[in-house]
Amino acid sequence: MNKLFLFVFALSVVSCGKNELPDYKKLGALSVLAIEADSPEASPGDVVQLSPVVTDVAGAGRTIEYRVTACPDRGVFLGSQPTCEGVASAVSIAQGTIQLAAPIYTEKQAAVNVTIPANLLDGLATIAEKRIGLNYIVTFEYTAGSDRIKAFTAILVTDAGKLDKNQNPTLQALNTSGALFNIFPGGSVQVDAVHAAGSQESGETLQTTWFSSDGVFSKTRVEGLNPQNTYTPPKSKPSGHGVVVVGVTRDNRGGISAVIQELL
Amino acid sequence: MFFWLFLVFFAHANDRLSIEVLLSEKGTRAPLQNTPVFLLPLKVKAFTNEQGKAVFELDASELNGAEYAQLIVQIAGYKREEKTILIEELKGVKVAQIYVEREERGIYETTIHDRLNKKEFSKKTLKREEFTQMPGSVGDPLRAVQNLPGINRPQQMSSSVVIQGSGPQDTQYLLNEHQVPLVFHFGGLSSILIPEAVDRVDIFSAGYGAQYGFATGGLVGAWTRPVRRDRAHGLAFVDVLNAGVLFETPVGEKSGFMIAARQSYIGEVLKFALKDNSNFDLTVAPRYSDLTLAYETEFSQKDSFRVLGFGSRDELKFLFKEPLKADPVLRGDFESGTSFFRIIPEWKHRHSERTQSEVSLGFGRDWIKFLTSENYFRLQTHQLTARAQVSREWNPQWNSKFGLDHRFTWAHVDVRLPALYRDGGVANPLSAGTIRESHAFSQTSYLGFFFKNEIHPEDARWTFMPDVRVDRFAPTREIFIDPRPGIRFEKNKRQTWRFSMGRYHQPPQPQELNATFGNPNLQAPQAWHWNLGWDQDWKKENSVFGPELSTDFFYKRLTKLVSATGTTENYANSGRGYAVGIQTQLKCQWEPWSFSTIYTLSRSRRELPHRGEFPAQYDQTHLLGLLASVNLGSRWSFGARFRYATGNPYTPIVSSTFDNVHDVYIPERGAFYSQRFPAFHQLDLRLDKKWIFNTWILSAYLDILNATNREHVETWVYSYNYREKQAVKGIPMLPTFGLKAEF
Repeated sequence: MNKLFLFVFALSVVSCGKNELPDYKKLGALSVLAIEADSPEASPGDVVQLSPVVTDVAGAGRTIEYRVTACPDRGVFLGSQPTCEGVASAVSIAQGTIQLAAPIYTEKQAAVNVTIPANLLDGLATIAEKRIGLNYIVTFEYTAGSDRIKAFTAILVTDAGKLDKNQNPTLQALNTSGALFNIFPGGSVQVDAVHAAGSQESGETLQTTWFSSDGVFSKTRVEGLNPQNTYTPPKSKPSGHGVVVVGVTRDNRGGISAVIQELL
Repeated sequence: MFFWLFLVFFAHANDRLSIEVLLSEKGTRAPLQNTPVFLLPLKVKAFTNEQGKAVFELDASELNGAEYAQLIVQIAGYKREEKTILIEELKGVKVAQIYVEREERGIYETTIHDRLNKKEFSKKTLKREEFTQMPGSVGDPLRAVQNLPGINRPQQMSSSVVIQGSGPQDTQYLLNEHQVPLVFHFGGLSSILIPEAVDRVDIFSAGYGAQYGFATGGLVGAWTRPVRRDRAHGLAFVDVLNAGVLFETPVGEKSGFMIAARQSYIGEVLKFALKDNSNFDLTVAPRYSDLTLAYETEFSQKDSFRVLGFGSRDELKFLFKEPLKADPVLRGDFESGTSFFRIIPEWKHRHSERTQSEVSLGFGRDWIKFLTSENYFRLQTHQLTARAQVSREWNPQWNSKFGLDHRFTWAHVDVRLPALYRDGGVANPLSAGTIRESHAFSQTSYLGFFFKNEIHPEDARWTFMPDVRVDRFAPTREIFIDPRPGIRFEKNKRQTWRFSMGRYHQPPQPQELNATFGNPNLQAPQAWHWNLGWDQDWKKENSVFGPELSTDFFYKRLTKLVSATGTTENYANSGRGYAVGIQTQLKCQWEPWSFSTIYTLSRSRRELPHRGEFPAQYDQTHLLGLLASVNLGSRWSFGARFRYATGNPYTPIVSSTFDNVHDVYIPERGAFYSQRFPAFHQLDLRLDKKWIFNTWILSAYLDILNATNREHVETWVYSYNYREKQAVKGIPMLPTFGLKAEF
């Protein structure tokens, strides 16, 4: 507990001091911002469609190679490395190249289909354990030149008889004054993340992460339904790319929804 | 120091004069016993008694009409004092007091007087008069132990004492031989004991004796001092961190009572400094306090009794106004607190000239909490520790000690936390851990018996110690019979060789045995120690001046070390390792200077099945300490400390993977502890001054930590995706100032 306390306190104090580390919410380098699954909770044998949101503003449309692999979870959230390398039952899902389109170089990619093994839950003894389920890991690797990034998502696989499977929240839009904001250039404005009705299921706390290629949001993450943030646009239009903002809402159970918006 | 020459009564009774003189040391008011006082012109002298009183009985006619009388005190170690008295003023009038100052001596001994206790030769000791004025330690006894050989330098803000390359969790902390949960207030700011209540601090390292156990690395033992029963004493102090008071007094003829209390306020300074931060609100400034109570008495010539009460409290609250960027599960309110108390009664009974027994118990409770908006850790324990020992001298060549060492704990724990995975010193983000919840009650018992012997053959230079310890660890269901033999050879009064070895076992940490967060099937880690030591004294006969050298070669072999698995098993006894080294200390005193040089050369390695061999977390190849102090006269003293330590190893992070579910990055570790921080070196300075008044003493000090304002890297903080890192540097030059008034 002493170590845990010191870790948090030191992190906080450093965060409060002169911090020269890159800002999480600043878009620029090749990154995966989110991986949307049409079904964050699935049954054995289901086909889940995964759509990663990839950004590479600084790459300006260069060719990016990708590879998708899937395997049963060996305990990623207990500390095992989040990789399917060396896993006997790993499955290659897809590979190829993409090019992100100008001017914002930030896109939700075409979905890849991942088939959950029909026997994934066979090792669990009881229905109760099967209703709790196991994770099925899907890893994504993107390479562009010397840049190589990795991401993974976990699809919770539960017994087909479980009826109240988790659903995605729905982030509909990022608005200001009730409409898609085109405030650029201008002063700071309040931005609203608009969720569809029913996005927050019972017991969930939604968390929305905010990104921008230029300008700055006052907060990186905001909790709750239909949260608000403050955006300060850049003083002048950037050259070489358009201004893009992204909102990603998570329910912390695998449910994700992302909105990408170019500021005109 | 001054003598307080006090003329109490001068009466004429049939021309008979009676002069009573009360002799006391200035500042401390200590009565001086068996001290001659001269009276002129009569050239007579009288000696003071146990209360410091001397009486002159004489006829007025013996003064031969003299108008003046003179009292003179001149003894070794004190300044000569003369007091001239008008004869007429003495008639029924109390004469004015005269104060005589004590000569300055080498009282500012900032060298390390860890004179080897020849009965326990893996022990180093720091006494109160040593650590209270040690440069860089701010008068704290447990910070001062870093000036002992074999003690690795921890990170700043660390509350660990690392002994000879072992892990910080491998060190046990004892207060009057009873285990306590911590010895530092959080962040390592200050130890839990008010320094003026501490008699000494002992460090037990490789090859320590059978009377202690439960630690494979070593032990840190703090001892409170006896209550002074000559008269009432008190003190009050204030410095940059905290303020405190101490009071002690005799109770009757055979008893004494002491109370000491301390409260911090450094947190208020920190709160003020952070008040304008946009993301961080220190709702409750970090604060600590502690209380010490002691009562002791002698029932008879054979029985003495003492009870110590001790309490400590740390607390901190703050608010994250938005989730932490690198680890968003950390958000909202954050609260941490550690409190505990102990009541330790001790009884000693002398059965005969050759047999003595000692019994002490420790009762107490611990409260530890760690709360965030959604997660929590609450631990409440009842502690019962017992120690008992019977000492018997069978004959001049053989004496034994047989004893008991028991710890019993009842614990309630409520936990809801993400699984904290930490390997190679790198922790995964808390956000990426599976939330686990546990509500448990447990009882744990650790029982030890020890049998110590000292056997002197015909050649009295040799001492053989075939000691053994038996332990039973109830949580792991294990019983150990651990040999702890030792040999000592005193070649002459100046040179001693000593060898000790033994096997040691240590219980796994409670969280490592927990059914939800740990592995209940773990076994106790084990170590073999070997230590060969040599002491050489070059001081002149009956002199405190000259050099002394103490050298130890140590080797520890570690097996069944607990390591994280990253699976549902959580932990396994899959680790092993070793630590080897040589540590040496050279002390010299040449009035008014004293010097000490400490050097340790060591290597500490660990091994895991999937990682191979790698440096241990606190592997520091070179540790060098240079201390010097000088008595400047007029109650001024100056001390300096220079330290050098090889940079701590750390595990590099070679890449990371984005965790889409939790919106964090999980680090990928490179070769464990394959890189090192830059070497550490620091200069600390200290200036002390005392003012001696009639009935009290005022002390002031200025302690400048890191006097050269050197920036050294303590650790790294990484960017959210671990691609970049920023150094967290140690404290800059930090002057600390303190005042103490005592009587």
